[in-house]
Amino acid sequence: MSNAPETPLQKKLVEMAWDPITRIVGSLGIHTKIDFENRRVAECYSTSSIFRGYSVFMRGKDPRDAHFITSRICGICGDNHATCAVYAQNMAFGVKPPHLAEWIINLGEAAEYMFDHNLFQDNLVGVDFCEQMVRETNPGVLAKAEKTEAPNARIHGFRTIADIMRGLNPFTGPFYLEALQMSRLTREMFCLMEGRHVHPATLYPGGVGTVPSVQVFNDYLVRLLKYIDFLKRCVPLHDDLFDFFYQALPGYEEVGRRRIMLSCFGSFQNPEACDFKYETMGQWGRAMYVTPGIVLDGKLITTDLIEINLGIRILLGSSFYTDWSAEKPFVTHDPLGNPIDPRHPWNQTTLPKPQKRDFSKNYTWVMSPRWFEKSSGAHLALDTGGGPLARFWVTALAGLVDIGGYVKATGHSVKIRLPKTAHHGETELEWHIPKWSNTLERDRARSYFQAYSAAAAVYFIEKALGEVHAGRLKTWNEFKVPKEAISCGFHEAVRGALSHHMVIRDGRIANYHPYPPTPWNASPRDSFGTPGPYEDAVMNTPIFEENGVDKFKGIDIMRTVRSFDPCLPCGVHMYVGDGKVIEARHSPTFGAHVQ
Amino acid sequence: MSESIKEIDVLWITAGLGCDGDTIAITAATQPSLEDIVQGIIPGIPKVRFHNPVLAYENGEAFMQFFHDAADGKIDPFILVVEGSIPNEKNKTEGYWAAFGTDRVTGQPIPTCQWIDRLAPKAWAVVTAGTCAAFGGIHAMPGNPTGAMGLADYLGWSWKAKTGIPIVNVPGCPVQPDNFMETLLYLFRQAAGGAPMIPLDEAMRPTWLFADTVHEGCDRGGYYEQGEFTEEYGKKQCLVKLGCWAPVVQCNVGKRGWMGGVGGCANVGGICIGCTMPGFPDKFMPFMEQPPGSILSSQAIQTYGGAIRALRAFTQASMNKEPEGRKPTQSSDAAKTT
Repeated sequence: MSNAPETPLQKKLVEMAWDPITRIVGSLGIHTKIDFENRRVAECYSTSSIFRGYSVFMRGKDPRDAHFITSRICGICGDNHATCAVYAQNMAFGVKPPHLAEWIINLGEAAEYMFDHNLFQDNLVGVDFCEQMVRETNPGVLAKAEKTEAPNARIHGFRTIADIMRGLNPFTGPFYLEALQMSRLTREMFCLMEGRHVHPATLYPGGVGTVPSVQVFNDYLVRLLKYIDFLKRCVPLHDDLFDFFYQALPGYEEVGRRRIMLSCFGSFQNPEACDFKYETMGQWGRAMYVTPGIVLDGKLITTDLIEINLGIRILLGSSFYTDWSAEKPFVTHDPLGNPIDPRHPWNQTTLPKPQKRDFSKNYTWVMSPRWFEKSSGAHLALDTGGGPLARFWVTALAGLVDIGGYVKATGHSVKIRLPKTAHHGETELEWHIPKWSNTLERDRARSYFQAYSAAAAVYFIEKALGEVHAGRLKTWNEFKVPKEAISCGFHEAVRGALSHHMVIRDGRIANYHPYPPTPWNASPRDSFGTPGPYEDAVMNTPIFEENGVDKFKGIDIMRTVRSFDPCLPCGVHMYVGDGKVIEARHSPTFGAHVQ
Repeated sequence: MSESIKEIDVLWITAGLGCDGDTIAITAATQPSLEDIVQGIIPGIPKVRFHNPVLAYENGEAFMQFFHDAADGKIDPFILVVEGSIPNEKNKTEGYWAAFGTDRVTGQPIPTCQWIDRLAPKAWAVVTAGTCAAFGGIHAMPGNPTGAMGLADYLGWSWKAKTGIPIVNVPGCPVQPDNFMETLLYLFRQAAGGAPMIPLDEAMRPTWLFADTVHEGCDRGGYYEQGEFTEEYGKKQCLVKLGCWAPVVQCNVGKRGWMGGVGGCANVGGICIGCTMPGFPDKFMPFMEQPPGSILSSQAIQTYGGAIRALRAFTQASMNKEPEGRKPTQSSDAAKTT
């Protein structure tokens, strides 16, 4: 880094940058310092290169427009934002949609998880595990893969692990191409429920505009069954691939490993339980079909959305903003009388201050969301495990979920029952709590969560058709926009915990702050100096790549960053530098460019 | 066209103020699909190399090298695709609103505007993917600190590529997947010498995609004609009173569906919020209110529509009855008639 302080050599550290990181959504760069002698990443900083200012330009707008606007935050999970905004609007407007509307939203969101995890896993992440990439980074591993029979070959049809890797080669591998095609089928399912992918046309506060019919749910179901047929090969294929890496590269569990600090904000409302009132949010949160909660060091410390909400803190640390502590808070107490911290999103004022990137000071447009844990007084840098890992971990430990027998949480695992399909009989999959929160387990959970969503969708179809058969076709309830209100929405974006926080004054938006998962995961060092999850996970990563400095591709780092499913239309860069820089190369694949 | 280009690169910048939704949209396209183009199975077009950050095999500098090479004249010809609104980098003293890659000399991010300045003059054609890049879109809403605008606002509406091709705008928030891929396909054909200059309207949108209004292709148009309007979401009648702008918005989604003929807006149950239009979003907000211009027309149609509906109901009732005589008849009856 040109602006990193230089001091005499202590260790031979090589500075390396990947900017932008491709095969993710949004603009992310990685700037690292690597200790090649000891084959470890020494340090890492995370920074963002784009500011768009949603929280600024939403002030003064009609609160009914919030979901249309916030959908545009993200081009791969915009509907997650629209849904979360609708949840926040429902709370603010005091409206509870008809049950059928909730089943339709659940079906849309389930299709979104299926589509997005599928596309990301096999068309973006998968390329890091494809034959071409493994040949260029770990020829020794590829040689082993050629000789290793795939344990589930009979199910998925790829004889060796190397055959699986060839299947994932971009634009030529058969599995890559099949997954791309499948991601279209699931998007059609999405469009049947929410109109357009990725910015939905039919979501509204109070319900949905989707015209319900026997036809629309049948159209969804026949597509779903084709996708489930594919999943029955997909999940065992990924199990074989990820298990092989543990076996071929002993110690690979350390790649991307960090302390188990996972948060999930819950998904799929249960319309029987959910009344969208803040006061009862703890109860209806626990009735969600994916349980909200926080797991710390393997223990479930809460499943209460009110407690989760109260603990959110937005720290500035190393980002390009002026602090808002001089501003008057919008909310001093929640509707239950609990005090609200000045650093809670309800009280945030976004004051952008563009400036030069300086890795010793401010280096990113991303702020640092943290969760204040009362018992220790710590501001925890929670991560989402890329979404699925936290959803599974919380749901499994809580043991609350039983989705009509299709999905069941056991206290230590989650069982998923997939119905009979064209080429496979009824199949049960079981996700077990892993030993580590690391790169491969984030990726593995992503495969299993596709099955979770698919099985849940079978149940949601049954419930939706039940409403149609009973003649309960209403999908929307009227509401009035109040003069004053505070509200929040909690949901799971595809890559994890998502919350929207709104303050209404004089019938207009006075303050609106969406907190997507990526600011949690991609956050920089906060005002206490605590690094964000990407930084933290990359810094602990050992290097298994066989290439030396000159041909170094940073594949273990890339796998780690991508395991979080970065989604940065809000942008991130990473940088490794602690003042021990002796050699700086910006171009790992294009040879030396010493500054 | 005298040109006959054999190979062409597509350099796609997603680093405007956007959401990458247009890139994600094109992965949904099937008419043609991305694989159809990349694998070279469409006849009559050049060999195409795609460089898009969401889909690239390469990373970091290896990926950026294509853009540096194009700026240095080493990749030619190429089509530049811009996604996301263009920020005003002049409205502040330092720093950047949007950047793409790191400057090898200064270590600072390279502003997206600088890339446009360097690449646009060398491009064979410049295409915008989605409403943000075309007209400014959501991020250009009043109150935005970035001064966001569309590419034509930045380069000038009369700007032309060195080939004489104006900026080609493919709006939509996000872009309808096949609309975008089809526009690229047209340009590839034009590059190969197999098609005349791409026909564009005054907002530089391909005419065959954007000439008609949503309403002209809307499957609820019949309800409008009969003066049937719903004031509640989730019903089948015309949505105008709920805030649907279909009668004036140029977009083919009502006819084409969203992907593979499935999905869309009004046909599924969503109001048209005008996302393909230069006036989006400001002139359509608040979205959930009846467009002022439709108050008169929807009232006028109610008298005519009501009468038409009554007459049709009469005819329809008759048509719902079989013609006389469709019943088993006795042979003696049959004998009488013959």
